[in-house]
Amino acid sequence: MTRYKLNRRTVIKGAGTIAIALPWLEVMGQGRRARAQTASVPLKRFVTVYQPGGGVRSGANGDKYTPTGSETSFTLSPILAPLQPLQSRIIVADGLNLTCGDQSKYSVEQHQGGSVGLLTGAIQQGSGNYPPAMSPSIDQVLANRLSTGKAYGSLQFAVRWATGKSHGKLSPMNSLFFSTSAPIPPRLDPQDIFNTLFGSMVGGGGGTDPNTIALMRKKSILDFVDKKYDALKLKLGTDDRARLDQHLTQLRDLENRVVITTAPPPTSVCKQPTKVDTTGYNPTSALNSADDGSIKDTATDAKIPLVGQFMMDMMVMALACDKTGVISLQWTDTEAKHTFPWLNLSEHHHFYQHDGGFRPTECTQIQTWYSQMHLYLLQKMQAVDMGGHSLLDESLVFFGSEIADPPSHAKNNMPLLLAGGDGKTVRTGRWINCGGVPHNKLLTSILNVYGDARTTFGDSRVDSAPLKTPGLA
Amino acid sequence: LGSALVLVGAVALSGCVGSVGPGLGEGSAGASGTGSGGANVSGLGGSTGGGVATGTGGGVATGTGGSVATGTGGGPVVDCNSIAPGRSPLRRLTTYEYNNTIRDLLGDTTNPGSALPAQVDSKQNLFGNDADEQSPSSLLIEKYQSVAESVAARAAASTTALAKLHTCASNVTTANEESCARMIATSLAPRAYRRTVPTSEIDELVALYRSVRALATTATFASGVAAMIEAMLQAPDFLYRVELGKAVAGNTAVMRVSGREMATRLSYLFWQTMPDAALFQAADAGMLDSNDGVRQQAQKLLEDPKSHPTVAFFFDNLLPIPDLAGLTRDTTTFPKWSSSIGVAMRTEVQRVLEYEIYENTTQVAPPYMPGSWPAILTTPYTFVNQTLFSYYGASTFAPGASATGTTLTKVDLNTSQRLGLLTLGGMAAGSTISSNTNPVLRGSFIVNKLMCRNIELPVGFTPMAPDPYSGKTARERYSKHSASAVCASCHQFIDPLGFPFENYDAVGMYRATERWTDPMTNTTYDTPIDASGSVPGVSGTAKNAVELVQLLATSPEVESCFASHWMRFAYGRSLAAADGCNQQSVVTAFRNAGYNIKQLLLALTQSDGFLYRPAQ
Repeated sequence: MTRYKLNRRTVIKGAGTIAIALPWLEVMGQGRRARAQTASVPLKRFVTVYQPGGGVRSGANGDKYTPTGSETSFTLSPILAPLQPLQSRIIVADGLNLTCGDQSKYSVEQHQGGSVGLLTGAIQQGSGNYPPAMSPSIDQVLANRLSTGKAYGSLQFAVRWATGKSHGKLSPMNSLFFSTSAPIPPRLDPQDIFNTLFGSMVGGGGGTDPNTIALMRKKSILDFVDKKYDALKLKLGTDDRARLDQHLTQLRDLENRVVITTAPPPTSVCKQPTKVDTTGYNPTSALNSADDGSIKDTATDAKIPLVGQFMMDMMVMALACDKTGVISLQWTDTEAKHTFPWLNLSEHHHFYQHDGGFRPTECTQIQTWYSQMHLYLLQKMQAVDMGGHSLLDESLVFFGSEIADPPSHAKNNMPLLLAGGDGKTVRTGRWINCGGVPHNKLLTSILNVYGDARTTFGDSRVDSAPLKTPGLA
Repeated sequence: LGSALVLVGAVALSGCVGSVGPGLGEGSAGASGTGSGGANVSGLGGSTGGGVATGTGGGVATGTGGSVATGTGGGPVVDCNSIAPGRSPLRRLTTYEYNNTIRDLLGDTTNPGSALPAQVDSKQNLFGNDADEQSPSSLLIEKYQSVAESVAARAAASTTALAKLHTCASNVTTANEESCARMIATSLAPRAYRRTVPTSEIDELVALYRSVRALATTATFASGVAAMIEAMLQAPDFLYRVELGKAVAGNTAVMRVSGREMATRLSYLFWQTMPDAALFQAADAGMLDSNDGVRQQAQKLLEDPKSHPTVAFFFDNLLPIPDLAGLTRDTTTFPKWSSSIGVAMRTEVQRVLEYEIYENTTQVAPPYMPGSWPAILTTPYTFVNQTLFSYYGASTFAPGASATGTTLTKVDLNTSQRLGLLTLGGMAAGSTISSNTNPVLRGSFIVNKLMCRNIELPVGFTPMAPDPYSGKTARERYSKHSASAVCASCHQFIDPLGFPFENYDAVGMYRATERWTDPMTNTTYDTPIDASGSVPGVSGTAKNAVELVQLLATSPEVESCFASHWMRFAYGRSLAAADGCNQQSVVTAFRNAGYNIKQLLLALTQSDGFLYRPAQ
């Protein structure tokens, strides 16, 4: 461990000197360079993808994550190599520390602090706890901006989720997304997602169409229910009224969704995704999990790639159909206690991280596979024509993990990627090094890119001033 | 980095050296009142300084701690002569309660609530019923809708199904359809809403029926009825446990919970489902308007077999037994272990609890009241079937004991090896997460869950199991961390509670020696196990687990911790400083009843927190 720390420091120290001179996100209207160019495609979507377990920048096999070369001319390392076909569309954002989740700085649990802080920039209030109230994740902040008038403020999908100690329940071990009041549970069942989002995409049939009648029926019932909440609210005290208000807000969103889904029939871009047979995959397998991952569900595990790709297909279509502006995919959770039959890895990810002693070979294999999946998503997004530009052009995709280094769970030099945009708003095709600053700065910068002008985000103890380049200031 | 480590050390020290007041620690008034957890007065030794620098102290604060604070700061002054119920936040049905309620309302046994999103897991509340953690998500509301739709469709799927809602539905005509719909609404709504429902509300339901019935030519009587059911199942009156309370003469600060609201409180406490007809009748007859009346009805519910699953639910969430079926063990070392043994061990633990709580009338030495928590901790018997009997082996049991067949039979233990709940095979196996025992995990379970001392994982470290080759016994291997003062500040409490259970291996078998093979010489050693230990706050030492559990049984901390778990379960919230009187009354009654568990549950219903709610 000591030896590793020295290595890590050396890396960061060495990288720090170049970092300051490197440009960051160039925001349209702020940078001279951007203004000089032709109008760019506005960013209308925000996508988050999480995978557990960090990168592999150390260990017996050496650094398998960090690219080599220079900012704009770089060679991807084995883990990121699968992304090579879209190298011009990504930013490898090195030199960012997940300071808010750093167990050597704050009283946070070493995995949980990372997951609850990754998108909130908030500091967990001790092991087992969630971030403080009023610490929303950036996707939720952006949902207010990007999802107005859409059926869903945001959608959260997760594959093989809540394993190990979280036992299928929503916990700081598996929560990444937070409204101002609570963690947000993800959707787990691929068939249910399909039916909910794309099940009745015919519509527009008029008065006797069965779908129209079903929707009108649903609406009558929700109207009735809505009135019950309104009536009861008045009889309750302040605290309880606030609880019912939260419920009512969500209920009204659901009512709006009923109205919205009656409207648009499928278009050439918005189609029902191909339904995939996921028989054998148990979306709530984790309800039967053991703390140490000793309860194995290899039948479900074997379906992870299939289900994951199906979920990504649906994510892409949910965006293409404009059902939401904000969507996310969570590959399992910080526990990561499932096996990888398709990689011939019969132990769980956490075992390879440290439960069984750090196994850099297996961790590299797993992370490389995740990169293949990332490529799948990006290519799907690139293939959707949103009218002269692709879905990827109008989206920013954030890829992150809750730790940097598997064995130590250190939070320095996190493995973070950004992808998407049309190359003007956000200059992709770069490997940048931010020089060891808190990742909260990135979160603020991302918000800025979307036109949210705030100058700080997350816990005030952590520096979150936007990443700036000398040319932009 | 250096200073950070020192700080961490300071936190750990201040966190662990103090002693905890019996059950009074948790969540007590965050003095800041901001909910930030910054100034956490609670938890271990009430260490005020412990957490200030890093944001948590004892780490006991749930997200709600702050909102509990009444601004009294340094220690609340609660007057127990006046009614002090504490908070009473609006509770939503848990998934478990939702399933049971649908079952009892409509006879639908499909557990439809399993389609609801994952419930929030909480460090403080083990039962998924903390109202402060029930913030509704968008997905939840969506699922309430789709689940209600499918439940309603099943309830109206056929004439037979409809006739179960009301006999009128077995023979409807165009002429009497609507009046039958009204009869269904009139019969169902008061049960779904768990209150009397005025005609105006029935009219609204019938109006919904009418509009859906008229929606299209394809609409039917059944689809109209289904719409009413679907609506009721999404109404706040069904999903939430609404309580308005009754004014209390001369006291504007509190409201009395009575009538059907009290019936609902009782029913969900003892049965985790809606009240039955008899309980509603008792409520309507005013039998729940007095403390004695509440107690009498509570007793009835508790004596009803429907309370057994609730008690089992409580212990399944408190004890490390739910995962026993799925534990995998090294097959070379433990060839006899199997999933079915795990299942049997879980049933064994559940049956011992059920028997001691509900059936046992025999007092054993030491003389603990039958059905009491200390009696459970020291029971000299267990329940096994033939398979488990031969798995454990005859030496586990008293001379002459035997068990045949698949039914669990009560057998006496060989009390030189095992005594009480914690020494049962299922507890030993369930508290072990690999093929090697981990005394720290076992000790942590006792210290955290049975003594309510909230000891956190150390921060800033990656806790690793010790090198399996660093000592011949677990005690040798795990004693190393106690050499450091920082580690020892917590482990001095944890380890002496864990080492005594070293006589039980990773699959729940008794062992006097631990086998260890030196990897260098390939020599195998069978080293006698030193199973000595002690209980924090209790004088004396134990030579082994049999002695340790007897010390635990005398610990007031253990008793009040047990009571506070039940209080959290019953109140559906964390406990706070304002619960001082509740705790005092419940723990006193518990103690006076010889720590009898049924008496504890009855005493809960007599506490201000159960009988009253704050006026709004």
